[in-house]
Amino acid sequence: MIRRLDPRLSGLLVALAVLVVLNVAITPNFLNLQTMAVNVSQVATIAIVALGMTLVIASGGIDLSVGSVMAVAGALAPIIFLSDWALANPGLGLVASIVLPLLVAAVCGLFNGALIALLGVQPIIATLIFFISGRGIAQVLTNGNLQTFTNPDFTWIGTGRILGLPVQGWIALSLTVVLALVVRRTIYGRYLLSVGGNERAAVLSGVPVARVKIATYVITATLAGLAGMIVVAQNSASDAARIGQLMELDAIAAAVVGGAALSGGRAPIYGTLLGAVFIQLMGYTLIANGISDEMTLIVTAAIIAIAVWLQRGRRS
Amino acid sequence: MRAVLREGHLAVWVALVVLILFGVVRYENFASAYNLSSFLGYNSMFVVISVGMCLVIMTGGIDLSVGTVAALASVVAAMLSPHGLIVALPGGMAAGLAAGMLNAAMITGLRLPPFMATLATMLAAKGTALWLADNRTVPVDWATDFTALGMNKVANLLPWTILVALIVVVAAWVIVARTSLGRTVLAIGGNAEAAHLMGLKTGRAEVFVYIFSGACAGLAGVFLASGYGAGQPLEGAGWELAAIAAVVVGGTLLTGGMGSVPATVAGALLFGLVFNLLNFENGRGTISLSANWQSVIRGLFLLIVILLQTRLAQPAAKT
Amino acid sequence: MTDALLQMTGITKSFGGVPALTNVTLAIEAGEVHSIVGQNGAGKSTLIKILTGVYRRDGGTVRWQGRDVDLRSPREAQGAGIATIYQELTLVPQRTVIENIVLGYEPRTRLGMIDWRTAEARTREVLDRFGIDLDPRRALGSYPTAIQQLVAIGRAASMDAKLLIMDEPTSSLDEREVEVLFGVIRQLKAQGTSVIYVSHFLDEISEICDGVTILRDGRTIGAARIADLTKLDLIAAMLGRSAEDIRNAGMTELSGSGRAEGGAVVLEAKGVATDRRLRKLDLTLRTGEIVGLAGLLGSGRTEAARAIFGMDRLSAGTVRLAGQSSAVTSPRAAIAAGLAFLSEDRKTEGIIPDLSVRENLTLALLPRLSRMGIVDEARERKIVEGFVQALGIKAAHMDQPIRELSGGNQQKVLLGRWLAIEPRLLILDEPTRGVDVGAKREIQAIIRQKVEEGCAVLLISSEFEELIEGAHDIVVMQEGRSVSRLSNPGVTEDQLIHAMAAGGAA
Repeated sequence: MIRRLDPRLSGLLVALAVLVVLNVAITPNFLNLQTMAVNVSQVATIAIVALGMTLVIASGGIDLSVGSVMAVAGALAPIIFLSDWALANPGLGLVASIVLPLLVAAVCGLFNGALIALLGVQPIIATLIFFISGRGIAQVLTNGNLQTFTNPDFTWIGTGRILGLPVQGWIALSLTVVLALVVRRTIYGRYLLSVGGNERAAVLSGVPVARVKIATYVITATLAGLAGMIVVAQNSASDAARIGQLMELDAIAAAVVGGAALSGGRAPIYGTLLGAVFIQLMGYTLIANGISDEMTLIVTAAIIAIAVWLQRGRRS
Repeated sequence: MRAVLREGHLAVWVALVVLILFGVVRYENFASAYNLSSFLGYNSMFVVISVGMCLVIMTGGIDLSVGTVAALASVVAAMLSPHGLIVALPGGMAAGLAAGMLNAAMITGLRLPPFMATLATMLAAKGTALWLADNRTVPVDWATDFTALGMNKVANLLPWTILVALIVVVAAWVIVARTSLGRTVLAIGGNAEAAHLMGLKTGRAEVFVYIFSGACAGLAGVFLASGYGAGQPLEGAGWELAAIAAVVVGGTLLTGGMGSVPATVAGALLFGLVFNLLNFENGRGTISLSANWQSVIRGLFLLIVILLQTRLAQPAAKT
Repeated sequence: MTDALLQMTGITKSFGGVPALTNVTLAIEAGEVHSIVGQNGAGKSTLIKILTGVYRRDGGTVRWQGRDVDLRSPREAQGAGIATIYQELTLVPQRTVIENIVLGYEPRTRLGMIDWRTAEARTREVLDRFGIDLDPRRALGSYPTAIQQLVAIGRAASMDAKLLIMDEPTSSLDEREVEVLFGVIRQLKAQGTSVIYVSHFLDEISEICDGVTILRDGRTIGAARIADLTKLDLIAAMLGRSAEDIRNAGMTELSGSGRAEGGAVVLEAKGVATDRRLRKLDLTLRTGEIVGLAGLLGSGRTEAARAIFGMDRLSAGTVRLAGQSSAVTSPRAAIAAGLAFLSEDRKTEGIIPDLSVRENLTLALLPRLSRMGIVDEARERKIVEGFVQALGIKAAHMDQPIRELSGGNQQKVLLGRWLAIEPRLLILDEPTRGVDVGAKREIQAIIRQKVEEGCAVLLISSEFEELIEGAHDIVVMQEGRSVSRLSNPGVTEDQLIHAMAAGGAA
C-alpha cells in the first residue's frame, strides 16, 4: 500500500523548493558545489541532534541537555587520542576516541532517562540539571582551555568528502533513513508513539514505558555526542565553552518546523531533516544576500511561530 | 507567614536559613555589609524575573524569552540613559512589556504552545537587541541619574534594586493571594478547560501573566544596564533556565495550578547563595574550585533539590 | 407556549461540514425538570454547549425569558442565569473547595481584594445544603470523585440561576448521593428554578423529570410528559425501533449463554487487599464463565480489577493463575500470562488518539507480532482486517487515526486490542458505558461469543440488566470486600440491589 504524503511534509517540501528556486535566481554561486558543501556541513550537526530531539518530543518530553552532551563528548575525544596511550596505539586510540565519548554521551542520556522515567521528574527540569552541569564538566575536563590538534583520521568525520559532499552530511542522511525505519517498522517506534500519545493507555497495554523513555533519552544523547565530535573534528579544536551552545534551541526548532508536536505522539523523522535544512537555507539566503545576522534571528523566530501555527491549524 | 508555610514549601526556607547560618559561622566576611549588598544587588535581577516566571508557570505555561528580553531592555535603557532614569526605566520596561504582549498575542490569540511562542520571542528579542546595539555593548550616560538605581544603596547597605524587586514581589504575592485575577491564574494551571467553563476570564489572566513576566524581564534589564554601566545585548543567555530552576526549587510544579511567590523568591536567593558560598570557600583557599566547577555544583544542587522534592511529593502524589 | 422560560427553535450546527444538529427544538418551562435523551452522538452535548455559549449555532433562534438572545461564552450564559454542570468534572482539583465554589464570583472587600472569610461562610452554607461534611480549605482533589461532583453541583446551585443544566450528574454518585441530589433538585424546582437533566439512567429520568425531549441523529424526535411514557417507549424512540421488537429480543445481548459446566479454574484470588481501598477480595473464575462484579461506586470493583491485572501492589492475599507460579506484578506480566483488561476510561486509559486503528488494535499484541524488534506488518494487517470485520468496526480504513472514530467504534477497537491477544481471562470494566445502544448490543454479543469459546470473563458493570442477564455468577462488593456471590439463573434485580446495599448474603 502506498502511503499518502503527509500534507505538512509536502508543504515543507514546497517551501524548500521555493527557497531553492529563489536562491538560484538571486544568490550568486548558489549552485556551486562549494556552497552546497558549506550548507550541508553546517546543517548536518543540527540535523543529527534534531533527529534525537524528535524522538524525545515524540515521547512527550524535551531534552535541554543536548548542547552540554555535545560539549562533553567533543571535549573527551581529543583528550583520548592525544593521550600517551593513544599515541602509542594509533589504531586502537582512534577507535577509542570515537567509541568512548559516545558511551559517555549514552550514560548522560541514561541519567536523564532514569530521572524522568524512574523518578518521574519533569523532562524540562531533569534535563536542565545536565544542561547546567554538563558544560561545566566538559570545561573541567579541558581545564577550560581550547584544545587544538591535528589528527587527519579523526577530523575526517568533520572535513572529509564522499562524492564531493561532506561526510557528516552522509552521516545525517543515513541516520535519518535508519531512524525513519526504526519509527515506522520497529516495536520500539510503535511503543514510542504510544507512550507519547497516551502514557496510561500504553502502560495498560503492556508497553514497557520506563524502558522506552530511557532508550529514547539514550539515543538522543548518543546522537548529540556524535554531533559534538563532528563539530570538534570540523574545527580541529575543541572549545568546551562553545561546542553545541544553544543547540537545544536549534534542534527543537528543526523538529517543530518539521512537524513534531510538543504534546507528543508524532515523530516526523523526514520532516525534521527538512525542517533543519529549511532553517539553514533560510539563514543562508538572508546572509548571502547581505542581510545581517540579527535579522536572520528575527526571521527564524517568525518561521518557528508560523510553523507551529500551521501545525495547530491542522490539528484542530 | 502561615500562608507561606501552609502551601508546603517549608523545605526551601529551611535550606535558605541553614545555608545562611553556615555562611555566617564559617566565613568571617559573609555577613559583611559589602557582601550583603553586592549579593542582593546582583540577585535582584534574578528575583524579579523568577517572580514573573512563577506567575507564568502557575498557569501551566512557560516563558523562555525572559533572558534575551532582559538583554534587549538593557540595551534600550542604556540608549535612553542620557534622558535620565525617569525616561530610561519606563523605556526599558516598555521593551519588556512589548515582548510580553507579543508572547500573549501568540499564546492567547494564535493559541501557540507557550514553549514555542516564547522560544520565537527569545530569538526575536536577541536579534532586536543586537540590531539596536549594533552588535556592541552600549555604554550608559554616567552624567545622569540612571546609574543611581543600580549602584546606590540605602544606608550603604540595601541596593535600590532589591527594594524595587521587593515591591514587585509583594505586588505579585497580593495579586495571587488576594485577587480574582490571581485565583484565575491558578485555576487555569489546574484545569484550563474547567476554568473557561466556570466562566472565568481566562484569556485576560493569561495575557496578564505574559505581560507581567515581560515587564519583569524588562525591569531586570534596566537593573543590568544601571548596575553594570552598559546595555548588554548578549547577556541573559540561560537566565530563563535559572528562573525556571528558582521556581522549581521554590516548590512550584511546572504543570501549574499551584505555587508560591515567596517560595520562588527563596528559590532564587538559594541559587545565588550557593554561588556566593562557593566564592567564599575559594577565598579561604581550602579548596580551589575554578569557575568551571561552579556550574557543575549548581547542577548537582538542583539535582539534590529535585530528588528531595520527588521524595517529599510521593506520598501526596495525585488523587 | 408563551410562558416558556427557554425556547430553542430550528437549531442547526455542523462541524467541518458534518451536521451534528438539524432543526432541533427544545422548550423548557419555568420550574420544570426536563430531560434530554438520546444515544451517544444524538447531539445532546452539542445542544447543551450551544445553549451555554461554548459553541456558536449555525442557525435557529434561542428565546430566553421571552427575548431572542445570542450567548457567546460560558460567562455570558452564566450572567444570563444559565448554570451548567458538565459531564466531565470541570473544577480545579489543585485548588481548595472554597476556591472551587466561589471562583469567578469571589466576594470582595472594599479594596477590591478577595474576602476569604465571606467566601468560606458561603462555601459552608452550600456544603450544608448538601449535607457534606469536609474541610473546605483543603484541595478539592484530595476528596473522592463523588464529593467533587457534589461540589460542582453545589457551585452551580449557589449561583441563583434560573436554569440549571446537569449533564450526567450521577455518573459517579452512589444511590444515597443521588437521593441527596434529587432532594436539591426538588428544592430548586420549588423555588421556580428549571433544570435540564441529561442522563443515561432512564430510571432516574422517570423519577425526577417532568418532561423529556428525545434526540436521534441530531434531530428532535419528539417531546413528551414523562408520565406518558414507559421506559421501553423511551428506548424504542431513542433507537428508532418499535417497543415490540425490543421486548422480544431482551434488553441486552448477553442473555441466553449457557454455562459450560465444570470449567477449569483460571484464577483464584484469596484475601486480596491493596492500598487503594481494596480490603478483602475472594474470587474464583473458571473457563467459559462470566462472573459479574457488582457494587456501589467506591465498593472496590475497579480496584479489584487493577489488583488482578498487576497494576497495584498487593498488601495482603494472593492471586493465583492456573499454570503460573510467580505473581503478576505489572500489566505487562499480566498480558504475558494471558490476562486482558478493558478499562472503563476509554479516553485516558484506552485509545492512543494519533495512532491509527491498526496500531491501536495491535498494541498489546506487538511482542508476538515482531521478530528482532521489527513488526511484521503484513501479518499485522491481516489480523486487523479480521477484527475490523468480526467486530463490525466502522472506519474509513485501518490507517485512519482512532480519534476520528465514534465512541462505540473506539470501544470496539479497544475490545479488539484485547481479543487479539487471545486471553484466558478478559476483565471488562463497564464495557458498554458511554456507548450508544446499537454498539452496546454488538459488544455484548462479542463477549458472549468469546465466553462460548472458553474464555473466562470478569464483568464489572453498573447496569443491573447487563449483570443479571449476562453473568453466570455475580460477586457483590461492599467497601472493598467481596461479600456475597449470587448464582444465575434466578437472580432478580431486587435481590441484587439488596445484596449491594444491605449487609452480607441476601
